[in-house]
Amino acid sequence: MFNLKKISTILILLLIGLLIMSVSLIRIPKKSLNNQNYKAEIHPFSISFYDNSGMYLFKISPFDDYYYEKNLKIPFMPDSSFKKTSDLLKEFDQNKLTWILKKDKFKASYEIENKRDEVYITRILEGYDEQIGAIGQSITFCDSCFLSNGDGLVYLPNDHATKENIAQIQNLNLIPLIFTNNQLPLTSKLVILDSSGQKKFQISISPNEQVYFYENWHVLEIKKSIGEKLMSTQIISFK
Amino acid sequence: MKHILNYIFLFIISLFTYAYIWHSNTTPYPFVLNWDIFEHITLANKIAQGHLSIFTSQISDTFTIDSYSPLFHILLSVPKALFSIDLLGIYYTLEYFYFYFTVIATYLLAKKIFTSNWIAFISGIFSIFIFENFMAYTSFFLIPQNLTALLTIFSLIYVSNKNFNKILLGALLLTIFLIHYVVGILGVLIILGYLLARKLSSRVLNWSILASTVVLFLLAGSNYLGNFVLTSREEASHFLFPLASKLGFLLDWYSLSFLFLPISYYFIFKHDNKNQKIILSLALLILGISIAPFSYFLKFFVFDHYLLNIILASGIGFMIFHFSKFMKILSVIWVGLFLSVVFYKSQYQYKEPLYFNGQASQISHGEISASKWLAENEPANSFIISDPGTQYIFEAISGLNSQGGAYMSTDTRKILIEKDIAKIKTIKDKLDFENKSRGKTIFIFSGRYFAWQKLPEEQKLSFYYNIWKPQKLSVEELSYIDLLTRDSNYKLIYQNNELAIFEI
Repeated sequence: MFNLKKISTILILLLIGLLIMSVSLIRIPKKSLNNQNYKAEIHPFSISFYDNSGMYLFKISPFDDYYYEKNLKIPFMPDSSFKKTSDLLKEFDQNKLTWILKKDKFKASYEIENKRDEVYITRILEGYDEQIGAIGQSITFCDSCFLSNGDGLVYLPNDHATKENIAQIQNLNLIPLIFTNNQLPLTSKLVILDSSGQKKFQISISPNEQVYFYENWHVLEIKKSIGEKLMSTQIISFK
Repeated sequence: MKHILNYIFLFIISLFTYAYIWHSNTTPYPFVLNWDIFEHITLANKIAQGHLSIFTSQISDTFTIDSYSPLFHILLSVPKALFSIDLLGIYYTLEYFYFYFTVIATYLLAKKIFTSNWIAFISGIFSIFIFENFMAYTSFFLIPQNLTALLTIFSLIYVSNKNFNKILLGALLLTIFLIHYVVGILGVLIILGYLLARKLSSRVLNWSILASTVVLFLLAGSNYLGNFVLTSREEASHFLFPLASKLGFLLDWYSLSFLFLPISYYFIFKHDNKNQKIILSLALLILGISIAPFSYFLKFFVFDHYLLNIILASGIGFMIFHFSKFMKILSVIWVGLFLSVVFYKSQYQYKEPLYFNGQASQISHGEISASKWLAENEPANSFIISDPGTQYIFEAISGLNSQGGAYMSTDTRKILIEKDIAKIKTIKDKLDFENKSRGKTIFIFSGRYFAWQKLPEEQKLSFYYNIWKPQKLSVEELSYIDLLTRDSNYKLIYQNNELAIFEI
């Protein structure tokens, strides 16, 4: 029957097997979502999107996203000491990229889903106060890009409306729309153009959303009222 | 009976691995994951059309150096010449049988060397699940370097018999050499080395194991003296890697399976079996050569897919030698389980950058349809112009000529960089190719073409950077195509959502 030598051999074989599996699992490349128009990758502190030529388009991050409680604007994750968890079943879904972050009782899940030429970005909050009235979904887009309404107008904050910036926009046969107080006028869509005026992507804006644009950081914040379900889906089109 | 059961089990596991994990769930028929096959299909097509020379570079300009004779391609051209069968589909099916043969070759060699069904079976499992997902690609890619290695292993099995026919051996050695000159030379040396080493005593062979170990460490250490490019080919410099990267590749392919090496090393050293000592020495030597600081040397690892796998499997075999049959079965299942995780990782790592529309492939339905449309509707002397990747694929599938495909010259690349619509039509006049005055000129504006145009210029001039996967046309690119349709110099003859084909 079993003797010490056999038991030790079994244990060694088990241990080496576990080590082999662990090393392979650790070295699995970080999952990315590929589409004919973009690639989304999970980085340590954000999910970044790139176009087919590898140009950075935008990123989303729980450090840029906020929830609004009464008059307070609070980041999803107050500091970078969160834990990353995963949903094993979703890891194998080629059309989804899931990023789940936990900090104490707070859990913020980001789900990116491919649907033809569009990407659906869903933010789900758990463990937060259910009295949250709205969330601010932030998108930090490419530095050299312009924010436009898609109909020839380019948003330019008053404090950035220099002659050079205005001339650069006009050279692309576009019209600068100068605005103040960071809040953009009502619109149904926002279009990000690259430095040559080519459309890179489009964000759909619904009537219950307000848009703030912080030019210094190239951050758009789309503030949306949410109901009992602490979740919100944004649709970004690459057509 | 045990033997037959082992074959059946290995057949079932390998079929599941190939058909489900490697292929059908993400890469359905006749999609491919092997970029190299297109150049071999191109050459086989040319041979089927009656073009034959001992120098591949004289058959097609896709081949800029003569690394092998056209023997491999002559075999591949047979179904095309006799039955006009689509070689893409042939490859899809043939690569499974090639894969199974690599498994059986490992199994049979292990059985010969270790005379143990268990070690042979575990070696077969290793062969199924160890996939070198860079440069070697031994188990899945039916290409000349890998066929050379497979034939070398079958030859080793043959010469391990006491009585073998020297004329047949001579024919085998010649075939090994002709299939791939460089890899073939090492294959021939392995067989001759084995025959020579068999004449040595067990004691001397122990010294040869120690010497191979020293050589392995010396070659690994020589990476710190510098890296050396052995050919003038521009891409060669991209195949030089620091030692840490090479060890990273090994870790990707094997994970920590190397932990079994000291166990097999100890037992082989202790046992009085000359065959085992020779195989261990060869495995260590080839490992050393593969990680030596020279461009392309990692390709020599194709031989270690067999030899090293057998050595690592023997480590497990020695460990479980005294186990009951039931415990041995459980151990083999455990080995299969942890190696399947290693395989899942290495195949995922290879396929992940190739996903397009939810499928991993180097060619798309759109490209296959367009190529076939060209083959059926355009004269055989027509000439394709596009980016290197599109040319490479379309020349193989449509059978129409292009200038060099992915291996086009730097001069051709410089001409193709032109994006100005008004000047694109002059590209034809600048290129130098056969049938220029007679055939139609076909320009393919594909998603790949536009993606290639967006690369930095130094990458566009390099052989190393291709657009490896299909690309869809963007709105901006469709507008560009729309502009072309309004120009009387361009006649749109075919379009889908990945490309537009114009006659200039």
